[in-house]
Formats: sequence, structure tokens, C-alpha cells
Amino acid sequence: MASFNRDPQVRIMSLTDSEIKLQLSNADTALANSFRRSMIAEVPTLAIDDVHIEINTTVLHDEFIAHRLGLIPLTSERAAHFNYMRDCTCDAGCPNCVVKLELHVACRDAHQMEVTTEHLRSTLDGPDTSVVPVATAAERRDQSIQGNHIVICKIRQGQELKLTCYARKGVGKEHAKWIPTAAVAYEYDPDNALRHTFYEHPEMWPRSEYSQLTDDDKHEADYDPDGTADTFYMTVESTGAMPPEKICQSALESLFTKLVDLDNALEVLNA
Amino acid sequence: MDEPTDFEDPERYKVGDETYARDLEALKILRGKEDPQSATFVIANEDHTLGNSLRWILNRDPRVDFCGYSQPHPSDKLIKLRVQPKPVEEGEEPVDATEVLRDALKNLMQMCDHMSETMQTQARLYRQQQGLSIPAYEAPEEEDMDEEDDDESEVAEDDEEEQQ
Repeated sequence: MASFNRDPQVRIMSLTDSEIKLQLSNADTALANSFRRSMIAEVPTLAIDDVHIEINTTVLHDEFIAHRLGLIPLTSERAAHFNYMRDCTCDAGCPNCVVKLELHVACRDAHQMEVTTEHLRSTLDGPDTSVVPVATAAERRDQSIQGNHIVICKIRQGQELKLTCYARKGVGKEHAKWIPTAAVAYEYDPDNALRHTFYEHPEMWPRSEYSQLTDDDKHEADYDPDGTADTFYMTVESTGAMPPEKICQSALESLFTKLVDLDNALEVLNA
Repeated sequence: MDEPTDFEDPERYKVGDETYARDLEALKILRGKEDPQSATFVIANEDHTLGNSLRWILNRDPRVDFCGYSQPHPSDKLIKLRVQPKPVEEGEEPVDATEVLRDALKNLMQMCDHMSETMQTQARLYRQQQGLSIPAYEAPEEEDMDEEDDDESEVAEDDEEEQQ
């Protein structure tokens, strides 16, 4: 069996609640890009997928509100423990595949009022198993973070909104609301040594944060005709649905699952 | 949820959606008459995420003469992966495309595994160094699994330090 003795290396350069920066070396564009695509499209998260509206006397119509609700990021650390509804053994939703969120807000006085994610009450809400809007989770984690709730709509006196939402597990390639990342980017060759791009005025290009140039007067590395792109600087920004390193982990798991599935299919056909 | 939810038509979540083609076979192997060890693998419900990585790793295999893939149409939820092993000298055992592909899959699995492991180790190490708290999802829950993880990461962290 042909094997390559160069496993990809990962080094974390910085890590916060919302962003991870990592260096992927001994890799190839193909691998880095699969990793990136997997983070965007293949990581399962939870998002509101069905909305039953009971009362809506706001200025926004039902579909508009349902769409806004769908796009709210929910804490999805535990998405892996959920079933996809289409694969679940239940008939029409059970605690293993659906999380119910309720909202009931009415404006009684003569002021404008904001209906926000703060008003969404989740049925799955506890110390470690909660599925709640990310702003709610952030508030609980850190008391100094307040008022980051997403506005669903604004109402005035006499208007009311009452609805029930059902959040389900899904992946980004099905609908963008299940994408856990806000931005995923990678760069390679920070000093343009490979000349994959042409700088007409190298001195006018801002220097990359990963630049290895030490000379201030130099704006571009010398051309390296034999070089290949094998080190990638990735930045992964989370919507808050999952911690960024968890997104990376989950993306790799999804890739791994794809490979195992294909291997199994090959084995079945060969048997 | 205590009471069953009253979805108007629960069946609509049971049938296939637009993301996955459920009527396709997971894998089909197409072979020509003249070159029996080569094959085109028709892989359902996959895209460039898998295709490009597989092509890369297959092209690095010295036994492979040609490898390429395509997604024939963006609406078709499938990719076609062509693998042609090198012709062998007389008397040698011919290498089959299936065998080459399975080795490629194993290699990629190893890479994924390795990346995942180093990522986990690095994240823990980074948190330790920066004095950050361990997030809730890493707190012990399924005890057996977590204990194993801890042992592994400790060994790996030691290795890291030695390297540095």
C-alpha cells in the first residue's frame, strides 16, 4: 500500500469564543479546500425549520417572520446527539429530532417595542443541554455581554405575535441557515513567492499578517520556481452556534464519515 | 416535548429533499472492455468536497496512471471519478482501480484522523497556556470516552513539548 509519510500538521495560532486561526502545514490545496467546504456545508447544526403562527398582528407578514426566525443561530454543540428528522424513528417529531421554541409578545402601551430572540422560550433549556438563541447563551456565560439579541420585528400598541417554532438538525448545503460559520478563509504563500498572482506595484500591497519577510524595504519574496503551496493559514469565524474549534472537529468528522461510507460501499460491491 | 407535535403533513420530512438524491445507488462502478482494471466510480450525493481530495491523493499514488473527476451537472447529486492504474509488466499481478481507491480512502482517513487529533490536543494546549476555561462541551459527560480522550491528549501533549 502506497502511503505518504507526511501527515498534515495543525497549529492553533489564536482561539477565542468566536474565531480560530490555525496553520495547516504539510497539506495541499485540495485538502485545505475540502476542509473549508466541509466546515461550511457539512457540519450539522440546529435551526428553526417550521413555524406555526397563531397570532400575527404585526406589520410583517407570516412568511417574512418565519424566514427571519429560521436564520437565528441556535446553540448547536449538541447537534451531533440529535437525529435528522427524516431518519428519526418517530412519526412527527420527538425530543430526539425536534426542539420546540415558543414566543408570545404583545405590546400594551404606547411605545414601540422590539420582539427579539430574548422572547423565544426553548423547551430544551437546562444547564448543559440547552438549545437557545446564541445571544441568550452568551448572556448566561458572561453577565457583561448584554443586549446582543437579534430583533425579530418591532411592534406597537395593540400588536401581538404568538407562534411556535420547531428547530431541527440540518447541514449548510441544505439551507444557509444551518451554516455554523460566518466566514472561513485560508491563505497560502503570504509573500507571493510562488507568483500565483502578479503584483504590479508590490509596495502598494498591505503585508500579510503571516508574512515572513524581515526586511522592511522588501514587499515581495523572491520567486521560488520549485515551491508548492503546502502551508495554509485558515481563519474560521463562528456564528456562535458552535465554538470554532468544534466546527473544525465536526467538519473533519463529516469528511471521515464520507470516506468510511464510500469504503463500505466499495466493500459491498466487491464482496 | 411531552405531547406529539401537530405537523400538518409529517410525511413531507420523510421523503427526499432537494439536497440528497435518494433514488440513486450510493456507488456504481463502470468499466470498459479494453481496460478491465480501470474504472469510473459514480458516487452519489458527493461533490467537490470529496472529489477533489480523492483526485489529489490518487494522483500521488505511483500505481496510478490517470485520475480525474467531474460533477457532470450541478443539479445531479453525483460525481464521477475515473481511475486508471498503470499497465504492469508481464507476469505481474494487475492492480485494480478498486484496490487503489480503497488505499486512497484509507490514506485520507488517516489524515482526517490525524488532523482531528492534533486539533484537539492543540486546542487544549492553547487553553492551558492562555489560562482559558474549558468549555462546557468538553466537561466530562460520557465518562468512559472522556477518560480515554484525556489519556491520549496527555501523551500527545508531552510529545509536543519534547518537539519544542
